[in-house]
Amino acid sequence: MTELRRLGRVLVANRGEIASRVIRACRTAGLPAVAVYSDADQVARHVALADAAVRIGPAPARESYLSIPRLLAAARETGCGAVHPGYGFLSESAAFARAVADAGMIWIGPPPQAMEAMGSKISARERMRAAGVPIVPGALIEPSEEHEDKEKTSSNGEEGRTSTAARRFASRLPATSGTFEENLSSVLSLGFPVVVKASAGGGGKGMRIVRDAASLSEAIISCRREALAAFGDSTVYVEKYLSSPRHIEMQIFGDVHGKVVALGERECSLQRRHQKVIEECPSPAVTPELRERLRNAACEAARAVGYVNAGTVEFLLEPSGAFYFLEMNTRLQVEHPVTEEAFGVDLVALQLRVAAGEPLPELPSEPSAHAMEARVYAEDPEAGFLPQAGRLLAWIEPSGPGLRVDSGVTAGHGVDVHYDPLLAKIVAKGRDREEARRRLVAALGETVALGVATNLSWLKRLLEAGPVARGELHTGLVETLSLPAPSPPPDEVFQAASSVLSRAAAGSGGDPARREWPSPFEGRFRMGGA
Amino acid sequence: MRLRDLRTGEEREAAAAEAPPGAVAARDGDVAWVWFRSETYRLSPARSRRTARGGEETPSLEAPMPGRIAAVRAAAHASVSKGEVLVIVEAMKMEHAVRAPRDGVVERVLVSEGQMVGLGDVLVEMA
Repeated sequence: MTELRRLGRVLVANRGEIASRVIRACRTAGLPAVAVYSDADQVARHVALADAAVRIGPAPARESYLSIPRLLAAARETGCGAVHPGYGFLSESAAFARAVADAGMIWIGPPPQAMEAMGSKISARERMRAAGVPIVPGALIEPSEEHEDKEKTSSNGEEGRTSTAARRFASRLPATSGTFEENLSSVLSLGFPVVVKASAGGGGKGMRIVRDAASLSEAIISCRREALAAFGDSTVYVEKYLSSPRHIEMQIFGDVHGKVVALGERECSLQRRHQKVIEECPSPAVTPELRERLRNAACEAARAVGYVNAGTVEFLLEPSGAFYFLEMNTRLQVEHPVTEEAFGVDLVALQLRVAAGEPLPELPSEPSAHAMEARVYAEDPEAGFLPQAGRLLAWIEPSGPGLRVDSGVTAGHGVDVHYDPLLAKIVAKGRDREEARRRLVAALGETVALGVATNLSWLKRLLEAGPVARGELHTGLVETLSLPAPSPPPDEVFQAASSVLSRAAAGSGGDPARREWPSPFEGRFRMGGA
Repeated sequence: MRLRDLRTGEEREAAAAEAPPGAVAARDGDVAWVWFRSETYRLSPARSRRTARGGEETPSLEAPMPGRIAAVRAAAHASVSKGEVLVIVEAMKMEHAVRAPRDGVVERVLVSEGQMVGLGDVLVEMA
């Protein structure tokens, strides 16, 4: 406890549910928490929960939650001794971590060098390979004038024979292409399909799946062109394409005394457009033996970069049991609660203790329950999952045995277009996976969110789908499932709607089409005009 | 009142009756939100799609989501062909193109670049 006091007041440099989560942990630890808010968040939940709150700027994140000078000023102004970044925003900014330290405050997160080492996919991959952590076999193809010319020739002049062209292209690669020993010929030897992606890119930009040697050369050339246009760097990356892998990630923790431990894995294979929607702990596919191998690999990864505090090492797991390093997230994850529930630990409390210099305590080695989390988003599944904004007319959270809700909203609050549309994370715990799943389905049904369309109903239908219920998951599953369509309302709902519409129209005067509630957008209309 | 379920398009004539026990209902403009038996519904009065101008549908193109106008490609009185991008709305790092539903002429452009719009706000009117 004495060590913890070194942190002093903690500035929580975030918003929404994660800001509330961190504020609660600080208060539990006996540390005062200071919230920050933009003009869009004056009445937000995290502001109400904190011991003090500082306005840091207008609604756009660039001028508020992403502004290092404003956050530091807020911390100084309130006499904070430490900063917790949450996830998203500046949580993976080594520059912010350094600025906090330079200002004489404690950064509740990993050392900036470790953040930088894992920040670039290429350098992270190289470090992992050197540390003996399995990586997806692949090769880096670096830009070179000579290559550009020859590629053009091969694609224009040798159509139908590109297989040979690809092979010759491979042989032109330097034997040790800088950071990578593997070259394209080793990719060809892996067999197809392979995936070609821009090294500087993210979010699938420029990514191509290549199913045969004949199309490889062309795919590399066009990916390179796109990468150059989009990121100013034509370095591309060819790797083995894993067709239906699971996304398995390991929660790790390091302390300043050199101890690194891996708790358990989370499975996050249920994703929509690379966005996780359901996460669970443990994974139905991970045996104790595999868990041990994943733990060792994750700890190796963390040690290789001198990691301290909470982090997550992501892997792709093939049906064969082979797994490959994907990336490391140098922060607390959105889905950390499933680990907390399954293992009975408080990861944010641990983050505070580790940041204060305390050694890691003994942690449980096996999960004692199964936990599943659903991310409730303000988005409309019936309209292409478009993000929604507006005012929550009603918001009632589920409760009951084995349930936990981490939310950032309350009734009457606006859901703002400037930020991530995550409303809440609903976490259910059970003695086994099926009990957790059933509790989660019931909890999603119990949740009332009126005024803003959400994915609640879609999440329920997803959790009820056969492969999901059976735990037969892979990262492409959500896209291939055809979920039952929503059912039309029963008569009672038509009557209730008719009643609420006629009652309100009678009282609101001549224009029934006018919004009865103040539009959350009115303020921004003025802004746009200014 | 004839009502339309906004998720499924189902329409029904409904008399105003007391909300059934256990339902939670609220109104936002002309949209009724009802939570009932683990599902959430959105309903609004079913409208005739015909306009005052007599039969021919006049498409007014509305914002598919609240957000910022990232680009305006349409100009008043310009001829556009079906599928042409008229306006791009951006929110939460996502862009959504609003396209011409048919060949025609743009009558009015009601938004400008950088402006914030709400869901359903009219962006462009076609003649």
